[in-house]
Amino acid sequence: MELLDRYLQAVRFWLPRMQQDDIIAELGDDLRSQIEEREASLGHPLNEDELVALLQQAGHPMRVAGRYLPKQSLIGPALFPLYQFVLKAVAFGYLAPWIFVWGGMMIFMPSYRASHSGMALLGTWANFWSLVFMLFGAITVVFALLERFQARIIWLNTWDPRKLPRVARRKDRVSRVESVFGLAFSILYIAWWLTLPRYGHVIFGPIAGFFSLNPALRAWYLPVLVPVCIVMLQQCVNLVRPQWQWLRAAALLLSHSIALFIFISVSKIHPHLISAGNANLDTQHAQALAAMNQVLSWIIMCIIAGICIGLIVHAYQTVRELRRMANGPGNGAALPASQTL
Amino acid sequence: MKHSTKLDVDLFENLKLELRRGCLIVAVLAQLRQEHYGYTLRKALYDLGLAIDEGTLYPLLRRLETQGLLASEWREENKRNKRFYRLSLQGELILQQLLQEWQTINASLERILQEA
Repeated sequence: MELLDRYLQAVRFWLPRMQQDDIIAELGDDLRSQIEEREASLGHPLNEDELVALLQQAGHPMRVAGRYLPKQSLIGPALFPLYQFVLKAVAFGYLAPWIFVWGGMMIFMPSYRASHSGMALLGTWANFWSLVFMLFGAITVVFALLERFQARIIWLNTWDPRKLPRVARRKDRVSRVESVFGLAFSILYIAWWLTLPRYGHVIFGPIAGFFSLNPALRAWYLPVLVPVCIVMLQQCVNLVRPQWQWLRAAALLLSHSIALFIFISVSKIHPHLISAGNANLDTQHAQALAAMNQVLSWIIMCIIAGICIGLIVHAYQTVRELRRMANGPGNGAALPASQTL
Repeated sequence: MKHSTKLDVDLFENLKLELRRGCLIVAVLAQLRQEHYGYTLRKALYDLGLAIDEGTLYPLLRRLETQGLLASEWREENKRNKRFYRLSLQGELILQQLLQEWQTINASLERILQEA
């Protein structure tokens, strides 16, 4: 019976202190009764293997003990969907763009790559994972607290169905009105961009006499229009084939990718502004030029970050549309419950 | 194919567990209209066609006792201390209500199955 005592001791370890003796006495009696019955039917005392089989059938000590404990969960089913939603929002809205921007900087910015290799690279990733654990940990703690005090959360008990969002109807086609307006805007944008060299002095205003754009930027003057032309092409096709929703998502993905490449290339050209005609500037104008170049660099970095976020969104939309197309028409369309029942 | 078969088995086991959970409570309460200790209760249920392992029965008995539906006492029998359970007064009332509910559900299910 040494095996049985060892088994009961193992079960006891996982039980609440106040109930250990009671539960072990009852469980022990049941197992002894089973052993006696088995021995009576076999006609001999159980050998070790037979006893092991009987105890294995009873279950692992931790599992057996677990059944006596009240069911506990850190975050219950009522709050879990919201918890999952917040984690996803943080992962896709903050962590994924972080990785994307970091990857872009490592690929396209040699100076950043040089300063973030070896131990510095390990340090960056250590910081990233610290951030991930801190964010997810903080969110989990907040939701665990909400779960604990759930009964006191008023909005879960006093809610009004009339305040729920309206039923979202997924568009099954690209609106022609949207395509026409998009096309008109694209044409206006291209016209504005092409006339820019002639009327550029209007933009620069009084400083036009002192500063001008770096000539190296001229190489990117026409390529900037490529993403717009891609979107225009998509808008023209969608006028005729509005049901090709995948085309819009794919075109936006492509145009954003090209725009990202252009802006990263432009960000490498320094300075963006130079003194007009290479004239010597006085101290005040030289300081203004440096400040404007700094601001332009920041603006370009912000645009790159925005394009990166757009790329993630459009990549997701493209995959979703292609999947929807592969699954056949009608799949995944949100219909009001009254129409589906 | 093999994967989907395993999924089907898992799904069935989960659904069976859900279906049994409520029935076991009714069966245990009904059987404890007569006094039993754990092992004899398990045997009695098994002999009547409802197998229940000790890891499920004893926690259930404790829960029902905490809820006031069962009463228990330790007594010696066959030179061993055993915990005897029986239905409490409150347990009897609840059992009647549960049996009524079960009969209603059963009747509805039979009608539904006849229509199908």
